[in-house]
Amino acid sequence: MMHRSTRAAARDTTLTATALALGAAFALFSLTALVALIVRVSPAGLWTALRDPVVEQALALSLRTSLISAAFIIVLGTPVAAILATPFRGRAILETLITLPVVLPPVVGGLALLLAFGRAGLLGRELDFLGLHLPFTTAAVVIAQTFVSAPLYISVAKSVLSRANPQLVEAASTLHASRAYTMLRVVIPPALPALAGGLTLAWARALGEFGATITFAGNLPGVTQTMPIAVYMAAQTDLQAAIAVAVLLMLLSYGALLAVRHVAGESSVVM
Amino acid sequence: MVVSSILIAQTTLTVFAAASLHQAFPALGTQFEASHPGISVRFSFNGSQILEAQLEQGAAADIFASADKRQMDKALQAQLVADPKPFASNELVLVAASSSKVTTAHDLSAPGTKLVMCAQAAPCGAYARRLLQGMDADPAYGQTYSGGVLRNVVSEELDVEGVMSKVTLGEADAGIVYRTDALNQPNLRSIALPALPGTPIVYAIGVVRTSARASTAADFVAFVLSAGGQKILAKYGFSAART
Repeated sequence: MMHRSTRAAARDTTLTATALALGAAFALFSLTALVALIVRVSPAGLWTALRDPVVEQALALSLRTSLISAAFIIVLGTPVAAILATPFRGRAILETLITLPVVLPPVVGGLALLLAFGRAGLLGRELDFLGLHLPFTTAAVVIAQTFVSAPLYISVAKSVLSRANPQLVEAASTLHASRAYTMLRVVIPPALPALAGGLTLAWARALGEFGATITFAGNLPGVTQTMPIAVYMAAQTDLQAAIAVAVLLMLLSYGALLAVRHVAGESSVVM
Repeated sequence: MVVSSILIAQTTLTVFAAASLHQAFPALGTQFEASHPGISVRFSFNGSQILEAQLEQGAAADIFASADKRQMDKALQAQLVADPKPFASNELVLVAASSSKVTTAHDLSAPGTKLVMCAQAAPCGAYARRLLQGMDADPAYGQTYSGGVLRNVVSEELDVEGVMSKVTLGEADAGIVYRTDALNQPNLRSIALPALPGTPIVYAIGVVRTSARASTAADFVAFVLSAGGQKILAKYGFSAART
Protein backbone atom coordinates (compact mmCIF):
# COMPACT_ATOMS: atom_id res chain seq x y z
CA MET A 1 0.00 0.00 0.00
CA MET A 2 2.69 2.41 1.08
CA HIS A 3 4.84 1.39 -1.83
CA ARG A 4 2.11 2.01 -4.41
CA SER A 5 1.28 5.49 -3.19
CA THR A 6 4.98 6.47 -3.31
CA ARG A 7 5.06 5.34 -6.94
CA ALA A 8 1.93 7.30 -7.72
CA ALA A 9 3.45 10.37 -6.08
CA ALA A 10 6.60 9.97 -8.13
CA ARG A 11 4.50 9.66 -11.29
CA ASP A 12 2.62 12.79 -10.34
CA THR A 13 5.87 14.70 -9.86
CA THR A 14 7.15 13.57 -13.28
CA LEU A 15 3.90 14.60 -14.93
CA THR A 16 3.94 17.99 -13.25
CA ALA A 17 7.57 18.55 -14.21
CA THR A 18 6.88 17.60 -17.85
CA ALA A 19 3.85 19.89 -18.01
CA LEU A 20 5.86 22.71 -16.48
CA ALA A 21 8.73 22.24 -18.93
CA LEU A 22 6.42 22.11 -21.98
CA GLY A 23 4.40 25.07 -20.70
CA ALA A 24 7.53 27.11 -20.07
CA ALA A 25 8.86 26.27 -23.54
CA PHE A 26 5.62 27.46 -25.16
CA ALA A 27 5.42 30.61 -23.05
CA LEU A 28 9.04 31.40 -23.95
CA PHE A 29 8.34 30.81 -27.65
CA SER A 30 5.35 33.19 -27.70
CA LEU A 31 6.92 35.80 -25.46
CA THR A 32 10.17 35.95 -27.45
CA ALA A 33 8.28 37.10 -30.55
CA LEU A 34 6.37 39.75 -28.60
CA VAL A 35 9.46 40.95 -26.73
CA ALA A 36 11.38 41.17 -30.03
CA LEU A 37 8.86 43.78 -31.16
CA ILE A 38 8.83 45.72 -27.92
CA VAL A 39 12.59 46.02 -27.48
CA ARG A 40 12.88 47.57 -30.93
CA VAL A 41 10.75 50.59 -30.08
CA SER A 42 11.30 53.49 -27.69
CA PRO A 43 8.52 55.51 -26.02
CA ALA A 44 9.63 58.46 -28.16
CA GLY A 45 9.33 56.32 -31.30
CA LEU A 46 5.88 55.20 -30.21
CA TRP A 47 4.85 58.82 -29.72
CA THR A 48 6.20 59.84 -33.14
CA ALA A 49 4.35 56.94 -34.78
CA LEU A 50 1.13 57.85 -33.00
CA ARG A 51 1.35 61.41 -34.35
CA ASP A 52 2.00 60.33 -37.94
CA PRO A 53 -1.13 61.41 -39.88
CA VAL A 54 -1.26 58.08 -41.75
CA VAL A 55 -1.17 56.16 -38.46
CA GLU A 56 -3.70 58.49 -36.84
CA GLN A 57 -6.03 57.98 -39.79
CA ALA A 58 -5.58 54.21 -39.74
CA LEU A 59 -6.04 54.01 -35.98
CA ALA A 60 -9.23 56.09 -36.11
CA LEU A 61 -10.58 53.99 -38.97
CA SER A 62 -9.73 50.74 -37.17
CA LEU A 63 -11.44 51.82 -33.96
CA ARG A 64 -14.49 53.12 -35.82
CA THR A 65 -14.95 50.07 -38.05
CA SER A 66 -14.22 47.49 -35.35
CA LEU A 67 -16.72 49.10 -32.95
CA ILE A 68 -19.42 49.19 -35.66
CA SER A 69 -18.62 45.55 -36.41
CA ALA A 70 -18.99 44.75 -32.70
CA ALA A 71 -22.43 46.37 -32.71
CA PHE A 72 -23.49 44.27 -35.71
CA ILE A 73 -22.07 41.18 -34.04
CA ILE A 74 -24.22 41.69 -30.91
CA VAL A 75 -27.41 42.46 -32.83
CA LEU A 76 -27.06 39.68 -35.40
CA GLY A 77 -25.00 37.16 -33.42
CA THR A 78 -27.02 36.99 -30.20
CA PRO A 79 -30.23 35.67 -31.84
CA VAL A 80 -28.15 33.12 -33.75
CA ALA A 81 -26.50 32.01 -30.50
CA ALA A 82 -29.89 31.86 -28.74
CA ILE A 83 -31.28 29.62 -31.49
CA LEU A 84 -28.21 27.39 -31.43
CA ALA A 85 -28.38 27.13 -27.61
CA THR A 86 -31.39 24.80 -27.77
CA PRO A 87 -31.04 21.42 -29.51
CA PHE A 88 -32.79 20.82 -32.83
CA ARG A 89 -32.34 18.61 -35.88
CA GLY A 90 -29.37 19.69 -38.00
CA ARG A 91 -27.98 21.98 -35.32
CA ALA A 92 -24.44 20.59 -35.62
CA ILE A 93 -24.44 21.14 -39.39
CA LEU A 94 -25.68 24.73 -39.07
CA GLU A 95 -23.31 25.53 -36.24
CA THR A 96 -20.29 24.22 -38.14
CA LEU A 97 -21.32 26.23 -41.19
CA ILE A 98 -21.56 29.43 -39.13
CA THR A 99 -18.16 28.80 -37.53
CA LEU A 100 -16.49 28.19 -40.91
CA PRO A 101 -15.32 31.80 -41.57
CA VAL A 102 -13.02 31.57 -38.53
CA VAL A 103 -10.99 28.73 -40.01
CA LEU A 104 -11.18 29.91 -43.62
CA PRO A 105 -7.99 31.68 -44.77
CA PRO A 106 -9.01 35.36 -44.50
CA VAL A 107 -8.04 36.06 -48.12
CA VAL A 108 -10.44 33.30 -49.22
CA GLY A 109 -13.11 34.88 -47.03
CA GLY A 110 -12.50 38.22 -48.74
CA LEU A 111 -12.69 36.60 -52.16
CA ALA A 112 -15.97 34.92 -51.20
CA LEU A 113 -17.37 38.30 -50.14
CA LEU A 114 -16.26 39.83 -53.47
CA LEU A 115 -17.88 37.01 -55.43
CA ALA A 116 -21.09 37.48 -53.44
CA PHE A 117 -21.39 41.24 -52.94
CA GLY A 118 -18.95 42.65 -55.51
CA ARG A 119 -20.00 44.51 -58.63
CA ALA A 120 -19.72 41.36 -60.73
CA GLY A 121 -20.78 39.14 -57.82
CA LEU A 122 -23.79 36.92 -57.18
CA LEU A 123 -25.88 39.80 -55.82
CA GLY A 124 -24.02 42.49 -57.78
CA ARG A 125 -26.96 43.43 -59.98
CA GLU A 126 -29.43 43.58 -57.09
CA LEU A 127 -27.07 45.71 -55.00
CA ASP A 128 -26.44 48.01 -57.97
CA PHE A 129 -30.22 48.41 -58.38
CA LEU A 130 -30.35 49.56 -54.76
CA GLY A 131 -27.47 51.93 -55.41
CA LEU A 132 -25.15 49.96 -53.10
CA HIS A 133 -21.53 49.66 -54.20
CA LEU A 134 -19.65 47.89 -51.46
CA PRO A 135 -16.08 47.09 -52.59
CA PHE A 136 -13.52 49.83 -51.84
CA THR A 137 -15.77 51.40 -49.18
CA THR A 138 -15.56 51.64 -45.40
CA ALA A 139 -18.77 49.57 -45.30
CA ALA A 140 -16.82 46.74 -46.95
CA VAL A 141 -14.27 46.92 -44.11
CA VAL A 142 -17.08 46.45 -41.58
CA ILE A 143 -18.57 43.56 -43.58
CA ALA A 144 -15.19 41.80 -43.78
CA GLN A 145 -14.56 42.25 -40.05
CA THR A 146 -18.05 41.08 -39.08
CA PHE A 147 -17.84 38.06 -41.40
CA VAL A 148 -14.53 36.89 -39.96
CA SER A 149 -15.04 37.64 -36.26
CA ALA A 150 -18.77 37.12 -35.55
CA PRO A 151 -18.39 33.31 -35.22
CA LEU A 152 -16.03 33.83 -32.25
CA TYR A 153 -18.79 35.67 -30.39
CA ILE A 154 -21.50 33.27 -31.52
CA SER A 155 -19.70 30.17 -30.28
CA VAL A 156 -18.96 31.73 -26.88
CA ALA A 157 -22.52 33.06 -26.58
CA LYS A 158 -24.02 29.74 -27.63
CA SER A 159 -22.18 27.77 -24.97
CA VAL A 160 -22.97 30.36 -22.28
CA LEU A 161 -26.67 30.47 -23.12
CA SER A 162 -26.99 26.69 -23.33
CA ARG A 163 -25.70 26.38 -19.75
CA ALA A 164 -28.50 28.49 -18.28
CA ASN A 165 -29.88 27.31 -14.93
CA PRO A 166 -32.45 24.62 -15.94
CA GLN A 167 -34.54 25.19 -12.78
CA LEU A 168 -35.03 28.87 -13.65
CA VAL A 169 -35.94 28.03 -17.24
CA GLU A 170 -38.35 25.36 -16.00
CA ALA A 171 -39.92 27.84 -13.56
CA ALA A 172 -40.37 30.42 -16.32
CA SER A 173 -41.99 27.78 -18.46
CA THR A 174 -44.51 26.77 -15.74
CA LEU A 175 -45.39 30.46 -15.43
CA HIS A 176 -46.27 30.38 -19.15
CA ALA A 177 -43.44 32.67 -20.21
CA SER A 178 -42.70 32.43 -23.95
CA ARG A 179 -39.32 31.02 -25.01
CA ALA A 180 -38.21 34.40 -26.33
CA TYR A 181 -39.24 36.11 -23.08
CA THR A 182 -37.43 33.47 -21.03
CA MET A 183 -34.31 33.97 -23.11
CA LEU A 184 -34.44 37.76 -22.78
CA ARG A 185 -35.38 37.98 -19.08
CA VAL A 186 -34.09 34.77 -17.51
CA VAL A 187 -31.24 33.32 -19.56
CA ILE A 188 -29.39 36.38 -20.89
CA PRO A 189 -29.08 38.68 -17.81
CA PRO A 190 -26.85 36.40 -15.70
CA ALA A 191 -24.83 35.57 -18.86
CA LEU A 192 -24.02 39.21 -19.65
CA PRO A 193 -20.41 39.24 -18.31
CA ALA A 194 -19.53 36.13 -20.30
CA LEU A 195 -21.24 37.55 -23.40
CA ALA A 196 -19.20 40.74 -23.01
CA GLY A 197 -16.10 38.54 -22.86
CA GLY A 198 -17.03 36.80 -26.11
CA LEU A 199 -17.75 40.15 -27.73
CA THR A 200 -14.38 41.58 -26.73
CA LEU A 201 -12.67 38.56 -28.20
CA ALA A 202 -14.54 39.07 -31.48
CA TRP A 203 -13.80 42.79 -31.40
CA ALA A 204 -10.07 42.14 -30.95
CA ARG A 205 -10.17 39.77 -33.94
CA ALA A 206 -11.96 42.46 -35.99
CA LEU A 207 -9.31 44.99 -34.98
CA GLY A 208 -6.57 42.70 -36.30
CA GLU A 209 -8.36 41.74 -39.54
CA PHE A 210 -6.13 41.98 -42.62
CA GLY A 211 -6.64 39.43 -45.39
CA ALA A 212 -10.39 39.62 -45.93
CA THR A 213 -10.26 43.41 -45.66
CA ILE A 214 -7.57 43.99 -48.27
CA THR A 215 -9.21 41.49 -50.64
CA PHE A 216 -12.79 42.76 -50.31
CA ALA A 217 -12.31 46.42 -49.40
CA GLY A 218 -8.88 47.22 -50.82
CA ASN A 219 -6.33 49.62 -49.37
CA LEU A 220 -6.85 53.37 -49.40
CA PRO A 221 -5.71 55.65 -46.54
CA GLY A 222 -8.67 57.10 -44.64
CA VAL A 223 -11.22 54.89 -46.39
CA THR A 224 -10.16 51.26 -46.12
CA GLN A 225 -6.59 51.31 -44.76
CA THR A 226 -6.95 49.88 -41.25
CA MET A 227 -4.11 49.57 -38.71
CA PRO A 228 -3.00 46.05 -39.72
CA ILE A 229 -2.80 47.11 -43.37
CA ALA A 230 -0.96 50.30 -42.42
CA VAL A 231 1.56 48.18 -40.49
CA TYR A 232 2.11 45.94 -43.51
CA MET A 233 2.52 48.91 -45.86
CA ALA A 234 4.91 50.67 -43.47
CA ALA A 235 7.02 47.53 -43.04
CA GLN A 236 7.97 47.81 -46.72
CA THR A 237 9.37 51.31 -46.51
CA ASP A 238 10.03 52.22 -42.90
CA LEU A 239 10.44 49.18 -40.64
CA GLN A 240 10.93 51.31 -37.51
CA ALA A 241 7.59 53.04 -38.00
CA ALA A 242 5.95 49.68 -38.72
CA ILE A 243 7.26 48.24 -35.46
CA ALA A 244 5.99 51.25 -33.51
CA VAL A 245 2.53 50.88 -35.05
CA ALA A 246 2.58 47.13 -34.44
CA VAL A 247 3.42 47.66 -30.75
CA LEU A 248 0.58 50.17 -30.51
CA LEU A 249 -1.82 47.61 -31.98
CA MET A 250 -0.48 44.98 -29.61
CA LEU A 251 -0.94 47.16 -26.52
CA LEU A 252 -4.49 47.90 -27.60
CA SER A 253 -5.29 44.19 -28.06
CA TYR A 254 -3.58 43.32 -24.79
CA GLY A 255 -5.67 45.89 -22.98
CA ALA A 256 -8.82 44.48 -24.58
CA LEU A 257 -8.01 40.89 -23.60
CA LEU A 258 -7.13 41.97 -20.07
CA ALA A 259 -10.48 43.75 -19.90
CA VAL A 260 -12.18 40.51 -20.96
CA ARG A 261 -10.68 38.69 -17.99
CA HIS A 262 -11.80 41.44 -15.71
CA VAL A 263 -15.35 41.62 -17.06
CA ALA A 264 -15.92 37.93 -17.61
CA GLY A 265 -14.14 36.78 -14.46
CA GLU A 266 -11.72 33.93 -13.99
CA SER A 267 -14.33 31.19 -14.33
CA SER A 268 -15.51 32.38 -17.74
CA VAL A 269 -15.60 30.03 -20.71
CA VAL A 270 -13.68 32.58 -22.76
CA MET A 271 -10.23 31.91 -21.41
CA MET B 1 16.87 9.93 -65.95
CA VAL B 2 15.57 8.47 -62.70
CA VAL B 3 18.98 6.94 -61.98
CA SER B 4 20.84 10.16 -62.63
CA SER B 5 18.60 12.14 -60.32
CA ILE B 6 19.26 9.59 -57.59
CA LEU B 7 23.01 9.59 -58.13
CA ILE B 8 23.45 13.35 -58.36
CA ALA B 9 22.93 15.23 -55.12
CA GLN B 10 20.03 17.65 -55.38
CA THR B 11 20.83 21.33 -55.12
CA THR B 12 17.92 23.73 -54.72
CA LEU B 13 18.23 27.36 -55.76
CA THR B 14 15.85 29.80 -54.14
CA VAL B 15 15.00 32.78 -56.31
CA PHE B 16 13.28 35.87 -54.86
CA ALA B 17 11.63 37.46 -57.88
CA ALA B 18 9.36 40.45 -58.51
CA ALA B 19 5.65 39.57 -58.72
CA SER B 20 5.55 40.63 -62.38
CA LEU B 21 8.00 37.82 -63.23
CA HIS B 22 5.68 35.09 -61.96
CA GLN B 23 5.00 33.64 -65.41
CA ALA B 24 8.33 34.14 -67.15
CA PHE B 25 10.60 32.92 -64.35
CA PRO B 26 9.09 29.45 -63.85
CA ALA B 27 9.63 28.91 -67.60
CA LEU B 28 13.27 30.00 -67.19
CA GLY B 29 13.57 27.68 -64.19
CA THR B 30 12.24 24.66 -66.10
CA GLN B 31 14.67 25.29 -68.95
CA PHE B 32 17.58 25.73 -66.51
CA GLU B 33 16.72 22.52 -64.65
CA ALA B 34 16.61 20.63 -67.95
CA SER B 35 20.17 21.67 -68.80
CA HIS B 36 21.50 21.35 -65.23
CA PRO B 37 20.70 17.87 -63.85
CA GLY B 38 20.54 17.68 -60.07
CA ILE B 39 19.57 21.30 -59.69
CA SER B 40 16.06 22.43 -58.94
CA VAL B 41 14.93 26.04 -58.86
CA ARG B 42 12.14 27.31 -56.65
CA PHE B 43 10.66 30.79 -56.59
CA SER B 44 9.21 33.21 -54.11
CA PHE B 45 7.24 35.91 -55.94
CA ASN B 46 6.28 39.11 -54.19
CA GLY B 47 6.49 42.89 -54.49
CA SER B 48 10.21 43.72 -54.94
CA GLN B 49 10.10 45.98 -51.89
CA ILE B 50 8.74 43.11 -49.77
CA LEU B 51 11.46 40.74 -51.00
CA GLU B 52 14.11 43.37 -50.30
CA ALA B 53 12.78 43.80 -46.74
CA GLN B 54 12.79 40.01 -46.28
CA LEU B 55 16.43 39.84 -47.42
CA GLU B 56 17.32 42.61 -44.96
CA GLN B 57 15.81 40.52 -42.17
CA GLY B 58 17.98 37.57 -43.17
CA ALA B 59 15.67 35.51 -45.40
CA ALA B 60 17.59 32.69 -47.09
CA ALA B 61 17.66 33.22 -50.85
CA ASP B 62 20.28 32.62 -53.53
CA ILE B 63 19.11 35.12 -56.14
CA PHE B 64 17.22 38.42 -56.06
CA ALA B 65 15.44 39.70 -59.17
CA SER B 66 13.93 43.16 -58.68
CA ALA B 67 11.46 45.06 -60.87
CA ASP B 68 13.32 48.31 -60.33
CA LYS B 69 16.70 49.80 -59.71
CA ARG B 70 15.59 51.43 -56.44
CA GLN B 71 15.05 48.15 -54.59
CA MET B 72 18.17 46.60 -56.11
CA ASP B 73 20.23 49.65 -55.08
CA LYS B 74 18.86 49.33 -51.57
CA ALA B 75 19.92 45.67 -51.48
CA LEU B 76 23.30 46.59 -52.92
CA GLN B 77 23.87 49.31 -50.32
CA ALA B 78 22.95 46.90 -47.54
CA GLN B 79 25.55 44.52 -49.05
CA LEU B 80 22.88 41.88 -49.61
CA VAL B 81 23.65 41.24 -53.28
CA ALA B 82 26.79 41.35 -55.36
CA ASP B 83 27.16 42.80 -58.84
CA PRO B 84 23.52 43.08 -60.03
CA LYS B 85 22.90 43.02 -63.80
CA PRO B 86 20.00 44.55 -65.75
CA PHE B 87 18.22 41.75 -67.64
CA ALA B 88 14.86 42.97 -68.98
CA SER B 89 12.68 46.00 -69.59
CA ASN B 90 8.96 46.50 -69.33
CA GLU B 91 6.33 49.18 -69.90
CA LEU B 92 3.18 50.30 -68.16
CA VAL B 93 -0.21 49.78 -69.74
CA LEU B 94 -3.79 50.27 -68.73
CA VAL B 95 -5.98 47.18 -68.33
CA ALA B 96 -9.73 47.28 -68.34
CA ALA B 97 -12.48 44.67 -68.56
CA SER B 98 -13.88 44.39 -72.11
CA SER B 99 -17.14 45.85 -70.76
CA SER B 100 -15.45 48.74 -68.92
CA LYS B 101 -16.29 52.35 -69.73
CA VAL B 102 -12.57 53.13 -69.80
CA THR B 103 -11.27 52.95 -73.37
CA THR B 104 -8.48 55.53 -73.40
CA ALA B 105 -6.10 57.06 -70.87
CA HIS B 106 -8.21 60.23 -70.99
CA ASP B 107 -11.11 58.37 -69.30
CA LEU B 108 -9.03 57.83 -66.16
CA SER B 109 -9.58 61.37 -64.92
CA ALA B 110 -13.35 61.30 -65.52
CA PRO B 111 -15.16 61.60 -62.17
CA GLY B 112 -16.51 58.31 -60.87
CA THR B 113 -13.96 56.11 -62.62
CA LYS B 114 -12.70 53.38 -60.29
CA LEU B 115 -8.96 52.98 -60.77
CA VAL B 116 -6.65 50.58 -58.93
CA MET B 117 -2.89 50.82 -58.97
CA CYS B 118 0.08 49.69 -56.90
CA ALA B 119 1.00 51.49 -53.68
CA GLN B 120 3.84 54.00 -53.86
CA ALA B 121 6.15 51.58 -52.03
CA ALA B 122 5.90 48.99 -54.82
CA PRO B 123 7.91 49.57 -58.02
CA CYS B 124 4.74 49.43 -60.16
CA GLY B 125 3.20 52.15 -57.98
CA ALA B 126 6.22 54.45 -58.10
CA TYR B 127 6.46 54.05 -61.91
CA ALA B 128 2.73 54.71 -62.38
CA ARG B 129 2.83 57.93 -60.36
CA ARG B 130 5.88 59.16 -62.27
CA LEU B 131 4.18 58.41 -65.57
CA LEU B 132 0.94 60.20 -64.61
CA GLN B 133 2.84 63.26 -63.44
CA GLY B 134 4.81 63.22 -66.69
CA MET B 135 1.53 63.21 -68.64
CA ASP B 136 0.57 66.53 -67.01
CA ALA B 137 3.18 68.23 -69.20
CA ASP B 138 1.50 66.86 -72.34
CA PRO B 139 -1.15 69.37 -73.59
CA ALA B 140 -3.22 66.40 -74.78
CA TYR B 141 -3.87 65.52 -71.12
CA GLY B 142 -3.47 68.87 -69.36
CA GLN B 143 -1.85 70.04 -66.14
CA THR B 144 -4.57 68.77 -63.83
CA TYR B 145 -4.60 65.28 -65.33
CA SER B 146 -2.63 63.35 -62.69
CA GLY B 147 -4.53 65.09 -59.89
CA GLY B 148 -7.83 63.97 -61.39
CA VAL B 149 -6.58 60.43 -61.97
CA LEU B 150 -5.16 60.01 -58.46
CA ARG B 151 -8.48 61.17 -56.98
CA ASN B 152 -10.09 58.21 -58.76
CA VAL B 153 -7.81 55.64 -57.14
CA VAL B 154 -10.05 53.37 -55.05
CA SER B 155 -7.32 51.00 -53.85
CA GLU B 156 -3.53 50.96 -53.60
CA GLU B 157 -2.54 47.33 -54.00
CA LEU B 158 0.55 45.64 -52.57
CA ASP B 159 1.70 44.39 -55.95
CA VAL B 160 0.69 44.12 -59.57
CA GLU B 161 -1.14 40.83 -58.92
CA GLY B 162 -3.49 42.65 -56.55
CA VAL B 163 -4.28 45.18 -59.29
CA MET B 164 -4.88 42.42 -61.85
CA SER B 165 -7.27 40.52 -59.56
CA LYS B 166 -9.41 43.60 -58.81
CA VAL B 167 -9.68 44.34 -62.55
CA THR B 168 -10.24 40.70 -63.55
CA LEU B 169 -13.02 40.34 -60.97
CA GLY B 170 -14.68 43.40 -62.51
CA GLU B 171 -14.56 45.49 -59.33
CA ALA B 172 -12.37 48.24 -60.77
CA ASP B 173 -12.94 50.01 -64.09
CA ALA B 174 -9.23 50.02 -64.90
CA GLY B 175 -5.80 49.29 -63.47
CA ILE B 176 -2.24 50.33 -64.23
CA VAL B 177 -0.03 47.27 -64.69
CA TYR B 178 2.99 46.09 -66.66
CA ARG B 179 2.55 45.25 -70.33
CA THR B 180 3.59 41.66 -69.54
CA ASP B 181 0.71 41.23 -67.06
CA ALA B 182 -1.85 42.28 -69.65
CA LEU B 183 -0.69 39.68 -72.21
CA ASN B 184 -2.88 36.61 -72.83
CA GLN B 185 -5.85 37.98 -70.89
CA PRO B 186 -8.80 37.27 -73.22
CA ASN B 187 -11.35 39.10 -71.06
CA LEU B 188 -9.28 42.23 -70.58
CA ARG B 189 -8.42 45.09 -72.87
CA SER B 190 -4.89 46.42 -72.83
CA ILE B 191 -4.62 50.16 -73.52
CA ALA B 192 -1.26 51.71 -74.35
CA LEU B 193 0.12 54.51 -72.18
CA PRO B 194 2.77 57.07 -73.13
CA ALA B 195 6.42 56.15 -72.54
CA LEU B 196 7.70 56.61 -68.99
CA PRO B 197 9.69 59.85 -68.71
CA GLY B 198 13.17 59.63 -67.22
CA THR B 199 14.77 56.29 -66.36
CA PRO B 200 13.01 53.36 -68.01
CA ILE B 201 11.63 50.26 -66.23
CA VAL B 202 14.62 47.96 -65.92
CA TYR B 203 14.69 44.66 -64.04
CA ALA B 204 17.94 43.70 -62.31
CA ILE B 205 19.18 40.34 -61.04
CA GLY B 206 22.00 39.50 -58.64
CA VAL B 207 23.38 36.69 -56.50
CA VAL B 208 22.67 37.04 -52.76
CA ARG B 209 25.96 37.43 -50.86
CA THR B 210 25.10 34.91 -48.16
CA SER B 211 24.18 32.19 -50.69
CA ALA B 212 25.79 28.82 -49.96
CA ARG B 213 25.37 27.92 -53.65
CA ALA B 214 26.83 31.11 -55.13
CA SER B 215 28.44 29.47 -58.19
CA THR B 216 25.23 27.65 -59.17
CA ALA B 217 23.33 30.87 -58.55
CA ALA B 218 25.78 32.72 -60.83
CA ASP B 219 25.08 30.04 -63.49
CA PHE B 220 21.36 30.81 -63.26
CA VAL B 221 22.01 34.56 -63.58
CA ALA B 222 24.22 33.89 -66.62
CA PHE B 223 21.44 31.76 -68.12
CA VAL B 224 18.89 34.59 -67.65
CA LEU B 225 21.27 36.94 -69.47
CA SER B 226 22.11 34.40 -72.23
CA ALA B 227 20.44 34.37 -75.66
CA GLY B 228 18.32 31.37 -74.58
CA GLY B 229 17.14 33.08 -71.41
CA GLN B 230 16.39 36.34 -73.21
CA LYS B 231 14.32 34.42 -75.78
CA ILE B 232 12.08 33.04 -73.02
CA LEU B 233 11.70 36.50 -71.47
CA ALA B 234 10.76 37.93 -74.89
CA LYS B 235 8.11 35.21 -75.22
CA TYR B 236 6.49 36.56 -72.06
CA GLY B 237 6.52 40.12 -73.39
CA PHE B 238 9.71 41.51 -71.83
CA SER B 239 12.09 43.52 -73.99
CA ALA B 240 15.88 43.62 -73.74
CA ALA B 241 17.21 45.68 -70.84
CA ARG B 242 17.49 49.35 -71.77
CA THR B 243 20.19 51.35 -70.07
